[in-house]
Amino acid sequence: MAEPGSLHVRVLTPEGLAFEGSAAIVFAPSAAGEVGILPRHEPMVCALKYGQTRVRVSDDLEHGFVTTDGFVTIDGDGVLVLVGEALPVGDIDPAQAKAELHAAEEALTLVSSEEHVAYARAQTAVRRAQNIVKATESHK
Amino acid sequence: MPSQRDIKRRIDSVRNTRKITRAMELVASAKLRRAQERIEALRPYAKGIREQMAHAARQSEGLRNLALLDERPVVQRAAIVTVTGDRGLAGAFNVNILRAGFAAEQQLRDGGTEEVVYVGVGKKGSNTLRFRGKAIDQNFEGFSDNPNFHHAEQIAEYLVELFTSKEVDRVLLVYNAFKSVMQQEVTVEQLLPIERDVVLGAGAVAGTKDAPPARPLVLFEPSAEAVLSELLPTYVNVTIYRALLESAAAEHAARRSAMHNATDNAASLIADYTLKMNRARQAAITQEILEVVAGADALQ
Repeated sequence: MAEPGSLHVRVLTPEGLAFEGSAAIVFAPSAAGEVGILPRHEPMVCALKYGQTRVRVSDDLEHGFVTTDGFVTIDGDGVLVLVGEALPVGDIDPAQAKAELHAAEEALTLVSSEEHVAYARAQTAVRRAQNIVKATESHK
Repeated sequence: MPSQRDIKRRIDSVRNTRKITRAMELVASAKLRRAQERIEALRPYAKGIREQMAHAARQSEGLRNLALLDERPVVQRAAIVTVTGDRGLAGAFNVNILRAGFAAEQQLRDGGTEEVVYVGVGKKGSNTLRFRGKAIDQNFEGFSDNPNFHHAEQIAEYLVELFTSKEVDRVLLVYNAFKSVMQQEVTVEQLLPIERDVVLGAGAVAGTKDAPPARPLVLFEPSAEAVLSELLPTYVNVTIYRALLESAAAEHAARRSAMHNATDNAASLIADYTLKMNRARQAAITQEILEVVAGADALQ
C-alpha cells in the first residue's frame, strides 16, 4: 500500500495494467472538467472523457497517459483509473499520430451518416486520433 | 496384397502429415499460453467495472430509464451471437457452438419468438449458418485467434444499436468458455437486456464468486445514474471481450488436443504400416527361397 500522505494509483485497461505505484497527485479528465486528486480525497466515482490522465509522483516526475473514456474511483488513498485505453505519452510518435488523424478524418468523409454504427465508429476513430495528437502538442 | 513400395509410400505420406499436425500442436500451445495471459490481464479491469456498476446501481434512484436494462415483456425478435473460430481443425469446437445456438433458437421459438437472427463472429460459424439457410444479420471475422478490445467494442456497438432501436428484444451470446486446457464449455448467456441481478451484483457473475463488498456512500460525479449509464455499455464491451478471449483460448486448446490426437493416430498408423511392410518383405523372401529350393530340387 501507499505510504501515508501519498496516493496508491492503479491505471487498468482491458489489455492489462498500465501503471501501478504511488503518487502525490493525479489529474484526470472528468466529464465536467479536469479533476485533481490529492491524498485524503473523499470517496468518489467519476466518469472520465477522452483526454489525458497524469500521475505526478514528485515535482519532477510525472507519468502522462492519453486515455479514452472510463472511470476513476477514489477509495481512501487508493485511486483506480478504469479506461478503455491508456497510451503513455512518451510512446507517441507525433508524425505517426498526425498521419493517423488524417487517415481517420478521411475515412469519416467516406461514411454516410445514415449508417449509424459505421458512422459512430469512424467518429470514435477521429476523436481518438485527435486526442493523441493533442497530447503530443501540449507536451512539446 | 499391396507391394512393399506402395506401403513405403503410404508411410512417407503419413509421416509428413504427422509433421504438420505436430507443428500445429506446438503452435496452438504457444498461442494458448498467450491467450490465457490476456484473460488474466482483463480480469482486474472487468472486476473493477463490475464492482462500480453494482455500486452505482445500488445508489441510483431507480433502474427504470436505462435503455440497456429494458426488459421487454414479449420477445418478438431475438438475435443470437455465435462466437466461433475462423479456422477449423479444432475438433468439435465450432460444431458445438452452432448446435447450442440452434437449441437456443428452438427454445426462443417455443417461447413465442417469431424471428431469430444470427450475428456470426468467426468465419467458420458464418459459413455453416449460411449453408443452413439461417438469417444472418451481420458477420464479424478475421480476428478469432487474437481478438483485441477494439474488436469487442465494434461488436458491442452493433448489438447495442440493434437492441436500443428495438430491432431485437433480446440478444444471446453463445461461446466456448475456457474451463481448463482440457475442457471447453459451451456457454449461452443473455447479453441484452442486462439482467438485473448482474447489474446489482447479487448473483455471482459467471467466472467469479466474490460478491462486491458493501461500501459506504460515495460521491458520484456527475450522478450515480449518469455514471451507471456510462458503465452499462462498458460492461457490454467487457462481456463481449471476455467471451472473445475465452473463445480464443478455448479454440487453441481444442486445436491443440485435436492435433495431439491426430499426431498419435499418425504414429499408430505408421506402426501398423511398418508391420505390414515387414510382413510383405518377409513373404517376398520366403517366396524367393521356395523358388530357389524348388529349382534346385528339379535339377537333382
